[in-house]
Amino acid sequence: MRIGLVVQRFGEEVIGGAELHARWIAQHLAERHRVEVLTTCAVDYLTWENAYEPGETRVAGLPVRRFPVARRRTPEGFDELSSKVHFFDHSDEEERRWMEEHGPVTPGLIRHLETRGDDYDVLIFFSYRYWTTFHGLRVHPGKSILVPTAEQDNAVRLRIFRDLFLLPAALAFNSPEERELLMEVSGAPGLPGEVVGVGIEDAPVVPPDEIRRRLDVLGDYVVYVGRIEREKGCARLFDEFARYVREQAPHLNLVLVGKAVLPVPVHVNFTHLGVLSETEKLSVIGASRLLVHPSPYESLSMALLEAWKMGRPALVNGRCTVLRGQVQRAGGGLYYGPYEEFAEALTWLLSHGNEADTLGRSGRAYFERHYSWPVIMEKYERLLACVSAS
Amino acid sequence: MPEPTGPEGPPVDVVRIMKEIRESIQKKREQGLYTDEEVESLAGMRLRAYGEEARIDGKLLERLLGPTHDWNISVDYLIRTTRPGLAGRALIFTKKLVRPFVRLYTDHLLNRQAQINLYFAHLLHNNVRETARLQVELQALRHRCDALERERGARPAR
Repeated sequence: MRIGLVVQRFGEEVIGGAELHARWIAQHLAERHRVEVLTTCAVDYLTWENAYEPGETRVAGLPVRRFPVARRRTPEGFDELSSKVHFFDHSDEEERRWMEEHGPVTPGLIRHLETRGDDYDVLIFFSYRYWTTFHGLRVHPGKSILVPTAEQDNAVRLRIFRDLFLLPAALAFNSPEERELLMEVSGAPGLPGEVVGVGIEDAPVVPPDEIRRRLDVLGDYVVYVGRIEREKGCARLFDEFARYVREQAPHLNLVLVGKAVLPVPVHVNFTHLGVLSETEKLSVIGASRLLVHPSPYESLSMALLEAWKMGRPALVNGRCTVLRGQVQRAGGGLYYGPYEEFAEALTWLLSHGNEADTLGRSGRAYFERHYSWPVIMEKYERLLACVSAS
Repeated sequence: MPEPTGPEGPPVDVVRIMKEIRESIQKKREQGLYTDEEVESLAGMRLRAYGEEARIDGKLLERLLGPTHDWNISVDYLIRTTRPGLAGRALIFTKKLVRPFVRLYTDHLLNRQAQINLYFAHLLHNNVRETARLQVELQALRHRCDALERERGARPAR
């Protein structure tokens, strides 16, 4: 089958959950199909500045066709408008302007879909909120699959998206909660597609003692993996964890893995390791007591899947329905609301070592049942067959 | 569309654990106090953390935190040698012969050191326990202060 996979950014330097998700899916689909990635020349999602050369290239063996972004995103043009459409009364016109400011505005990509659409049997679009999906999905909706990666934030409730989720032939949801959310915002009694998600790439894992020595991580620690930013709940995590160690566990450490957009406090119990290789990341998770995930908005947490792959339990923000639902279904950790619950659940996980390990094992069993690559790709094959037949 | 949950369901009832945790929080809120067992478990957690930080052998740490004192210096040291055969046996015989004379001078010092070790261990364990208790009492007092302030705020001004 000839597949065109459309994603806002693509490259080995690109850091982002949805982009990594797209890259891994593209790589696995390419084992059975002819996949071409259709993307922009941008690396940075805050500016959409063209960093790659336009035209055809290859990334990790995959054919990639890049289109230049026509306008840069600027804080002056975007921030105030974004705040208005997300939190205040606004018009439909303002929402449309927001989409243009949000970007990445790539008319060449849309022209390519219009003129060369017949080159592809199926088109797969990643992330509903970007310009590339918003306009690209309308070109050949009948042979398009949308991987929405929708979170329960205010963007999903914008009026311009209401009909978007009704367009594609099928959707590949990340969780049952995401499917329910999109049914609610689109007002549809049902949406075609399946709960799929993504697998986690295998990487050789280093024994706990070695990785602790290599990265100079001492003592007991809980680990956070992902972009370190306020929107991911990190500011609250910093406050709550600092209070917890002050009041209850002076020797417990918080190890943070990922790019820091929010500055990490200078604190004796905080260690920021930055962006690590897959091997180091999985090894650091494997040597931890548990993974903490404070994000209130997620469509699927790859960090959570990584923790379960490594057999570690998780402590997640219970206000995020996706994370709470996953933890409950998997029996792979606990969740919290106010600080008292955070402290009590963390103490429970640290003081009930055997039970915590059981939660980790239960998470791993769930991961293997639902998120191992053969399971994920079988679901994609079903979606592809269904879309191409229609 | 199949739901992503196994036919056998999760083996651990997370909802039940969370219910227990919430009940425990509620109880503490109501009483404003922690039980002795909870203070003990909190202190135990800290002692374990200190031991792990000092990189003490895990087995020795278990013995240090256990009820017996078999971790302490023992004057009944074993007589051993690595030499094999006749030379080894002769060495052990000689050591056994000499030991009572050596012990005349060393037993007193070792006993004294063992007593000091025991005293320090008790002192530190009790200190950690007491600190943990005081911290939870302080927390309870903070909660009560907050509650009183809320109550005062809710009361109409005279």
